[in-house]
Amino acid sequence: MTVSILVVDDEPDVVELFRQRFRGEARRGDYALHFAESGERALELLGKGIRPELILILSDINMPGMDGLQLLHEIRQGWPHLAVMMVTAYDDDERRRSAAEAGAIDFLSKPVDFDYLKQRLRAFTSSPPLP
Amino acid sequence: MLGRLPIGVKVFIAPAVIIVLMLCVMLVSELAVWRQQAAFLHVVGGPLTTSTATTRLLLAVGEVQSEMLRYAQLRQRLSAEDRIVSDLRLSVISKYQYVDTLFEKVRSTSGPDVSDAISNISDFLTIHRAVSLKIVDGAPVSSMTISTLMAHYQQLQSYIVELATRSLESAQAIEDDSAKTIENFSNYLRGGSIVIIVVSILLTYYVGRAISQPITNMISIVSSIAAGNLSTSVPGMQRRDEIGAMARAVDVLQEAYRELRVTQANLIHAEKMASLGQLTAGIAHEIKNPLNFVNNFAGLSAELLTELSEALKPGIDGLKAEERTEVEALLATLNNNLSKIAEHGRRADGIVKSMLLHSRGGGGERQSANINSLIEEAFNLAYHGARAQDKEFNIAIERELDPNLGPIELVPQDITRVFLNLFGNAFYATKKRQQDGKAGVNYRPVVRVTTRDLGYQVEARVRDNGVGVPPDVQAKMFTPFFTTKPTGEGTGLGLSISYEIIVQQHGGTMTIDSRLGEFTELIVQLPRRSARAGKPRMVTGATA
Repeated sequence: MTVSILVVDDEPDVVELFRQRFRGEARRGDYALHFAESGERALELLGKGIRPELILILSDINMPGMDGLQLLHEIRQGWPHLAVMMVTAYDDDERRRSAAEAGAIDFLSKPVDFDYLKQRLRAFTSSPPLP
Repeated sequence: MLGRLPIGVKVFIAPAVIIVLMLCVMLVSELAVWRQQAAFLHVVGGPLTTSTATTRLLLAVGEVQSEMLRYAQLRQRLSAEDRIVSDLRLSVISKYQYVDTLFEKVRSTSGPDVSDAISNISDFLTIHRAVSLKIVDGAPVSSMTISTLMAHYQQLQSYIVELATRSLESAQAIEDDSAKTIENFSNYLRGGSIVIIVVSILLTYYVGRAISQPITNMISIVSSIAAGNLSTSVPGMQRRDEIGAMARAVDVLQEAYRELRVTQANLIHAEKMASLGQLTAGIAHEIKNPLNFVNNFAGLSAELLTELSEALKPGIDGLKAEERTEVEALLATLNNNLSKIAEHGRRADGIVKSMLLHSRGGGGERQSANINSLIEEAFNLAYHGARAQDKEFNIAIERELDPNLGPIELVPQDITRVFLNLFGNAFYATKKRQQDGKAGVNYRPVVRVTTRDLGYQVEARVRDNGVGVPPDVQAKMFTPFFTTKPTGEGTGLGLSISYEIIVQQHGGTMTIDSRLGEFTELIVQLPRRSARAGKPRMVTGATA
């Protein structure tokens, strides 16, 4: 069964990168990838409803307009059971702490370790995570 | 001579001396006036009075004589009982009483120098009186009697005149003496005034110079210091007066100013390094994202190329031999290029990560830790790292660690990083000296690490006997990206990050001492309690 992942990042090449990294999984029908170039756009997509079932949101922190941490707060309000991981090039203790306090389930630093990410995703699909 | 006296005393010297001299003059003039007065009184109560009284005595004696002569004449014509005669007799007797009174006055006022004249007068007065009284008591008057009386009178008169003359002469002598005294005194006074004026001028000049000269000197010294000449030697510091105190204070100020300038230079340098660090971190952030894409896509492309090769395998196998060789060679080159991109991308990523460490200042948690154990840990890490790269590598370590340093507040992982860098550099320097071949076969690489308690701060020194650092390199060695190592061996960030950790993050200092071909020593001083530190968190056991 196919599940969806939403990637939120203002860098357009992220789309290409994720598509290529997940091309095997996509071909097999494991994951459907969705992309939003801003926090606002991500909330819009969530509002419309994402099919098939959305299991994870990966969000950048530094973005123009609404930043990743604000988006995380919004998601916690509207969709409290959705799992969110923060991804950022700025890996410091303060960002890690505020992301964890806001309810992110993980904190990945760029460059993203795709092997680690896929391993976490497999755990998700076998047993749905608790928020 | 005046040097030892305080200015406060010096300024009173000239007026005090002048006042003393004036007092002397006043005393002398007082004495002169007193002496003059005594001389005056001496003249008035003495010879002058004698002279006046003697003159009056002369007149009185003359009167007695003339009355006696008249009595003698009348006695020759009239009887003694005649009224005129008896009246005359009484008058003569009373005149003698007056003469006695005057003589007594003369005797009492005259000095001992005229005693002979007095006694002569006294004798002849007695004789004259005796003859006269004999006549007035009824003795017969003859021409003989009268001539005797005349003779006595003349003798008496001459004695009295002599006394008067001598008294006047005596008075004149005293007056002359007094006039001379006054003239002498007047000369003394004039001379004294000139002396006072000259002494005042000289003293004022000398004392004024003694005061103003050191002040003028001090002004030029202070001006020289103000102009930035901070190695001026301040004269007069050993003096015990105000100038000495001023000189010592100026020296202290100079020293403080010198320290301030050094501190300022250090501060400016630290600020420069801090802004460079920020710039470095900022650049790293900007480069990191595109670099991530380069590395990611390079990795992906390698994977895709492998898949492509596999997918094309049947087709390639069906090609002619030379075409197949060419295609396989192209694929191999492409693969090789991709691994080169990946390799250099990783290298760039390593540099960017080091650069990002510049932005981490203040991020770590401060803990109370023992610097000795951090140094031991860093040495072991560095040593085993170096051994892993080069099995031949060896170095002796000499530890002079003060066991009583006590804990200080720091960010342990950052301080460990600093000492890792310092040991790494020390190892590199000794290795380089060994490779030079100049050191000879007996060269034995040594790194010596020393810690010392400096009271409010702690000092750690890492000294190696490697190649040493030339002065021009010393000036730039803490700047980001400055390196003397060949490309690929060093990023030029190790010491700049270490400097930032010690100076910016911990409020300490980091300095270098080195002699080319002999040694290099990095000196780190850390305050026990950093001014930038928040509340320290005591940690027991492992880091939290």
